[in-house]
Amino acid sequence: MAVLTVIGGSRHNPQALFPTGSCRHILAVTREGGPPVAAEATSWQKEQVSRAYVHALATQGGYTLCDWNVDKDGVDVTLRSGPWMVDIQLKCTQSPRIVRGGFSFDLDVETYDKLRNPDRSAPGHLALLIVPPDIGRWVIHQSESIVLACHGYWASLHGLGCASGSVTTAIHLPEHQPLTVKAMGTMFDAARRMANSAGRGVN
Amino acid sequence: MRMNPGFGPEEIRSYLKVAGWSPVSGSDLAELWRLPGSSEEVVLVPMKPGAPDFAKRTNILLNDLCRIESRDAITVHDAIATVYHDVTDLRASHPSLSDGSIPLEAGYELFISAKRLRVASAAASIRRQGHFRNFPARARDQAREVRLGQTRRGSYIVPIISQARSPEDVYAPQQEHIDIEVEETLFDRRVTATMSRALGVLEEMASARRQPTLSEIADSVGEGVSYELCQALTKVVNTESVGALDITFNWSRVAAPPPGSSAQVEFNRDAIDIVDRISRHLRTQLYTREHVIYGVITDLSRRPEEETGRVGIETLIKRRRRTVWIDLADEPYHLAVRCHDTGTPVRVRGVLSSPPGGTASMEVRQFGPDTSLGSDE
Repeated sequence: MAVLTVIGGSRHNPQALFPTGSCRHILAVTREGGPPVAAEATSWQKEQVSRAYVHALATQGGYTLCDWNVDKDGVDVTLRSGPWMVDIQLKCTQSPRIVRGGFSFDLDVETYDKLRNPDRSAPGHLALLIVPPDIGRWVIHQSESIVLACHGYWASLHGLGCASGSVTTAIHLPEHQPLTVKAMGTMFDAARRMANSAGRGVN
Repeated sequence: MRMNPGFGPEEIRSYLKVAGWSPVSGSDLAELWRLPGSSEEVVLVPMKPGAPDFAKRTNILLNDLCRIESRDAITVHDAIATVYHDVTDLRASHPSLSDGSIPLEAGYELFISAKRLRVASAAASIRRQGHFRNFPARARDQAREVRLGQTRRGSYIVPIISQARSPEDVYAPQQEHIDIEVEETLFDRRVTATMSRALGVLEEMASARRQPTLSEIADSVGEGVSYELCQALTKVVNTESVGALDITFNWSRVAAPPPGSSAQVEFNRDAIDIVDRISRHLRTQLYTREHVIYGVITDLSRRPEEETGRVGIETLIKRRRRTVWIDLADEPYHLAVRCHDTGTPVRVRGVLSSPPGGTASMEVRQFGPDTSLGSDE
């Protein structure tokens, strides 16, 4: 069942996060006898576009990427810079929950507990990728480029306290923490600190 | 490939250490290790086995090591997992085994022989004599503690895995007491060393162009050869589908191989005929009952005018700590002083007298550092 797209909107309308521009839809669902409508993306499509986003940033930043096919320990991708690593759980939404100062995402407690565990040897993060409600606008072809029309935010979970809920817990992803190459650098700074505690001798 | 590592940070650290890596920095959560060279490598070692990312980090480390060492993941994994272990491979060969399978009967004998060899060697590590099923309880217990590894295809291989912790970390110079827990662990290594030495001597006798003399056979008992050890070999090789049995000792990388031990021995049908003859001779031979004790020197006493010195060795007898007193002539006494000064464990073979509640003493046939632990002295 196709869902009718709402073009334009207010601050609380997800579509408003993706201002319309000169673009060509590469995928659209057409309702018989009517205008194109947005398609609800499947979870694998959301997952893959999130990976593509992170992959592109990591490549630009010079980081390598371990891509796990099966998420058994709450991690979708591991970024590497030499010996240092950062783990990221990727979530993707077409309809983000906007809260004061950023976004909120309900993460399952099992994953949260794995990522926040203070015994980890590499820090755990949640990254929330926001994609247009209309899957046809996820990738925009321009004359000399293609634009991946999604943007992401991140939160470090390492060492956080117990979950507030029993099934899911709300994670705040601040607006001032966009997932960028620079943000990845910040994540690696934390990873370095974890493996370089001052005064710890190694025999 | 992602798998549960089956080992912890200590195994990883020990492996990296013996492979030439050195730690550069670390915290309680992770350590960085460096391998100097033309393309300097740095890897991260996770330190908390209970952490949810431990398996992931270890697998990434394994992949790094595979790339650096140009070896496959299973080989590197096994090398780390067995870094504290001696692995003895029993390999049955015969042209008919080329498809990687083995007849049930031959396989049964091979597995049973693995246990028999182990029990016989453990018994010989305690007493040098024929036991004729009257094995010391410690010898039977030890065979229960060793582990059986995965068999490997090709020629049919049964790996026996036993403990071999590094002796460097065991005793300090002028040690005052032995540590029972440490001694229990070291016994595994001593048994493997006895097995290796005894099989080496047996192979030497079996491959000589002449028949071994009675004197040589008697001496071999002192090296750990026994009726039971010979029987364990002959039963495998005499099965129809096994043409030869070779035994390889893969010594732990953290504990040096015992000096003089054999890395590999092989017994084919011709050799096994001679082993069989040695076995029959040992069956009828009257043994002098000799014990072997292992321990640390805790007492040394010798007056200037005395020709011999008195040495107290703390050891385990029936899993209890006891001091055994021995008298040593000038040269071995000085060796005992050096062993005491360096904290080197010693091994003494001889006739033991240990009356309950009385003073234990030994009439010494052989005294020296415990070479099974890799000491070179």
